[in-house]
Amino acid sequence: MNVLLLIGSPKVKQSNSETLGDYLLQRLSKNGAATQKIFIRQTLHDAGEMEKLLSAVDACDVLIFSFPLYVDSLPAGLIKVLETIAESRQRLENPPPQTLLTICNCGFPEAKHNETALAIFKCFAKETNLQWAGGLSLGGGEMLGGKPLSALGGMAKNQIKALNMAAEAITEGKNLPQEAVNFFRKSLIPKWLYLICGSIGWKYQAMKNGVYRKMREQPYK
Amino acid sequence: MKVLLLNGTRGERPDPTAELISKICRQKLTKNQHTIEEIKLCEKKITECVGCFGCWVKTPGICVIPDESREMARSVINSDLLITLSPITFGGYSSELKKAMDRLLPLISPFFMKIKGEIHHQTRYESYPKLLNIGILPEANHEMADIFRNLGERNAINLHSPRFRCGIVLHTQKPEEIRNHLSQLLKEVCA
Repeated sequence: MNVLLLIGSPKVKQSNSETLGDYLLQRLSKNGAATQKIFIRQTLHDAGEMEKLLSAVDACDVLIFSFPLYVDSLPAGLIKVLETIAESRQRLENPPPQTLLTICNCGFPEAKHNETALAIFKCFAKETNLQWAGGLSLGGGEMLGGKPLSALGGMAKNQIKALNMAAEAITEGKNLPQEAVNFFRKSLIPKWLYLICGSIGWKYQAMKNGVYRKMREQPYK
Repeated sequence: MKVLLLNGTRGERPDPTAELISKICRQKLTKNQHTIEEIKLCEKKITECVGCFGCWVKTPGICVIPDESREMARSVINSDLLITLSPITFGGYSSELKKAMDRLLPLISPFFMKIKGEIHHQTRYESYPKLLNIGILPEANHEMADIFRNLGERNAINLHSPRFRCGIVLHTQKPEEIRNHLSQLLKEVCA
């Protein structure tokens, strides 16, 4: 089984999408899958890299997108990749049976914000003749800090459990079990604590950059 | 009323329906003494948001990438009504329109607030434009139309728009039908 992981985050380092995708990919690799990972940011302004991505999509059995929520939807660059994949697949006369699943994380504490993005992917699957295996959704993804899940102590235990279940299901050719979806969306830390950490985090970063007092500026009025 | 139209039609694919919609909006709004500016996004140098949050913690309120998105963000926050126009792409926006929407992050604050029981970001400015999203589909598709409406509603919450309307236009519709539909939408959103 060939598995392709596409990382939809434009971030160069500390990508939580990569953290989550990597864990699933490692589990699938242990189950005997041949795995490959591509960062979509490297393909956006490079036709050669985009061609490589399209060939890798055509050659895989399972396609996984791991991405962050941007303004209630997919990051623009990821939509560009979906548009290009869809156009490319129109040329295929008999597309092979391939499975699609997604992992979405957002900076709001509630996983519910990701629902529209997952609906867009489900629609993409239908339009491009990919079999939709389901989507995993996580709120408060910032708490992962781009670290491997195994390095986070017990904080990501539910997400690890969910990704283990997902890996087994994919290996057996099944859709994502609802139990995995439910475990994955559990909060990494309590909501109230996340809100406090978020607020302190922004202020700390602004302070480091010497703009703490300017955080609420209105430059365009 | 100051109106800004963000035209997210993909440059490589001229779309007569989008051109008609843009023309009708300009005619109707000008007739009613509103001013309208249209930005054809495919003609602008606007790159993808890189998710660095520099617009919140380095240069508050301004994106760190020095391209044409800065002037676009200025126009958005100084308008009373924002109209977006896009081919409906898997239920969402085209990459062209989404590129612009992602770059509006400097207009809000990093701090959180609760709206209808959910966490969202606080406002940066006192007022925000109303939002009218117009999506184009080749033919009726309820699944995509529902996702598109839902996406617009979510955007309106996060962009603190005081009023939201959504219109779905089909390539198969006659110009007169499109004209009447848009007329009604503009009346509702401008009221």
